[in-house]
Amino acid sequence: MEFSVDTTPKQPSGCGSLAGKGFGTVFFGLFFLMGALFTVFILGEAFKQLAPWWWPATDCTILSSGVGDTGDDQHPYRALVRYRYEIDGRAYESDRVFHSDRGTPSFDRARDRAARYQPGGAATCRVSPDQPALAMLERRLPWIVFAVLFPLIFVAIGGIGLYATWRGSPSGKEQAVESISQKASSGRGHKVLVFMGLTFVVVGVAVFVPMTGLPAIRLAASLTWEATPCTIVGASMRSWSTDDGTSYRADVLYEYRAGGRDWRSNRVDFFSFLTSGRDNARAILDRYPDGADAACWVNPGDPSRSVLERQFRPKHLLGLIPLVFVIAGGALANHGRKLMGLRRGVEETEIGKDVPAHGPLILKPEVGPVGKVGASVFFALLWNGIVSVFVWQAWKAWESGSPDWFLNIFLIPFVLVGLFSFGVVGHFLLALANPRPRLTLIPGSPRLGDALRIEWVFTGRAGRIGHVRIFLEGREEATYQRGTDTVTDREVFTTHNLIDTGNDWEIPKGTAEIIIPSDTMHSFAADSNKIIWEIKVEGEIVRWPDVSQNFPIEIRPTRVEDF
Amino acid sequence: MMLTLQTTNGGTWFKPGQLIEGRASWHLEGEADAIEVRLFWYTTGKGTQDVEIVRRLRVDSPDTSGHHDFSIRAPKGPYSFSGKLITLAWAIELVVLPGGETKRLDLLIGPAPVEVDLA
Repeated sequence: MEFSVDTTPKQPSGCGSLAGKGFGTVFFGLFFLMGALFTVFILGEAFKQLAPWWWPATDCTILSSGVGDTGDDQHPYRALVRYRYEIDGRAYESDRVFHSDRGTPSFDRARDRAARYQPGGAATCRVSPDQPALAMLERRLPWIVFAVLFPLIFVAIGGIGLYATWRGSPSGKEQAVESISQKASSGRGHKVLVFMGLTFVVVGVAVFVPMTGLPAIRLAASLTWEATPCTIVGASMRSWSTDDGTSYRADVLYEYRAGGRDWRSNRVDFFSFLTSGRDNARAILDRYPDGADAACWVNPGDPSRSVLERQFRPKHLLGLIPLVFVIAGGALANHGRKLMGLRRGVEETEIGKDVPAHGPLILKPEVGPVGKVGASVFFALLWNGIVSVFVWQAWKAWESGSPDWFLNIFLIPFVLVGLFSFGVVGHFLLALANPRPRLTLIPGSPRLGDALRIEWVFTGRAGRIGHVRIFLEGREEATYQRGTDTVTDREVFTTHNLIDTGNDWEIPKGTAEIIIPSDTMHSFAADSNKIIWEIKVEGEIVRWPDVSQNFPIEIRPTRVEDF
Repeated sequence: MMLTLQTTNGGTWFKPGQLIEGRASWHLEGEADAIEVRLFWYTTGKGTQDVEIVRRLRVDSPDTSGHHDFSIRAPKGPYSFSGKLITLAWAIELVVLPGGETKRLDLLIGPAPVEVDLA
């Protein structure tokens, strides 16, 4: 058989192609340019922070030390340390502690930093060899360099987009022919999935730890702290402009006596990230007016550590939201890892890389009863957590006497879904008490045409099951994009009953055997198309959630030697 | 430009493990970086298309006219099959790089001379 075709290239329709390339170039070029600009800016800032590491060390004398007000509402406090040093016989004075010292919202932090430098004491400062008037007491690691990851995402998107826009089509030649094998995935997409998932995990952890994790640990540690009288010496509403409008924070400075001396602090509670907002700030200022007496909690081991409020509030649960990123990122990375494994699996189907036949295999359910509860609880908490924010707004509008009818009606379906999700949680919680099937497959990794034996045992009160059906199912699964949704269609192509009985002596345990047809399709898994084989267990329990578990199995192709 | 792809015995059905032998011939109008003979499977149907190259034979800096005899063992899976949602087919392609000009020869790989029918 011989095939011969004229593959003379056709001319592409230049207009649309050029317009598309032009749009792609501008779109992705902007991404690339903006990302590159921010990258350069951040790297420049990081270099400035790094510079003092090469400046010569110089002896200096601390003249004064304390906490100063920066006049900036966002970072109102700063360690104000004045020091003197000499260069080439000339005396210089400076109050710069480190590069980019913009202040801090925490009085404690500024106070602790200032406390390192006692007036009259000696210290080592770093002086710029080019500008002797420029000196710093501390060298800091340029942590800002990690912020470069964010604009680099834009650089990567822009770069990949530009590459894809112009890749391999310098002329119209390639577009004139259609190669299917050119569409084969190189597997890079799966690695990108893993990378994106891990990025989500890192970002989620990076947000969760300072926002919720550490505050929760500090809150727990503060349970041993001692109640101490304190006086509010300053209470003001701090506000500053952000990209999203104006941010507010209550700044309550209080004074207390502990360990034989007076201390000041402005720590109201440990969850400062979650107590921002004008209403929150106003409520705090109402509780702690200027000049009022209050009780604060002081660490007896380190009296410099104190807090005004140490109770847990329901709104602190909002701090768990970053964990959604961690879980979603983990799932994404795991999915990408599995897809990479699938590619390896396909390669292993080649001749000479056969795997040995397996003995008995105890099957694992696709999703166990505890997994179903976990997934449903996660969904219910996430869904209702988000919806409750809007319900709260609606409720406040009701309370104020001016209900927002549009919001109320709009929320009805979302609230119904939320209520239904709690019903699903209840269903799966009840199902936890169900007898659980344990299946053993012999052989563990059967081939088409093999005799397959399945042993089942129900643990728990199997007598509650009135009817059971265990069957082998083969189905196609095709995943595709419909608009912005990813949809998976399923089509069962065969089922084989192993047992279908209501006899109570047959249900608790038993064995069944079938011959897997040799003229059907073996297990197959690609990115979007799959042939899935499963053993399904369905048990009916009167007036109780039924037993329903799926156990995926792998059916391999016929042995090559058998052809 | 002329590309031809043929199996030795003219057959297009191969059992898993069987040798697929044939010849790829080309007559190019200019120089090419390489010529590849690829054995691969691909899906069609409702799902997003999956394509997987399982064997790739490469001839770097080929003459403008020439041929390459290939011998590839058919993998043990996946079988060629057709269902209600998915069809999986095998093929060999002769691809000129970097241009991508292509000649394709459709194959059937499976235990029987017809694709596995799931519909």
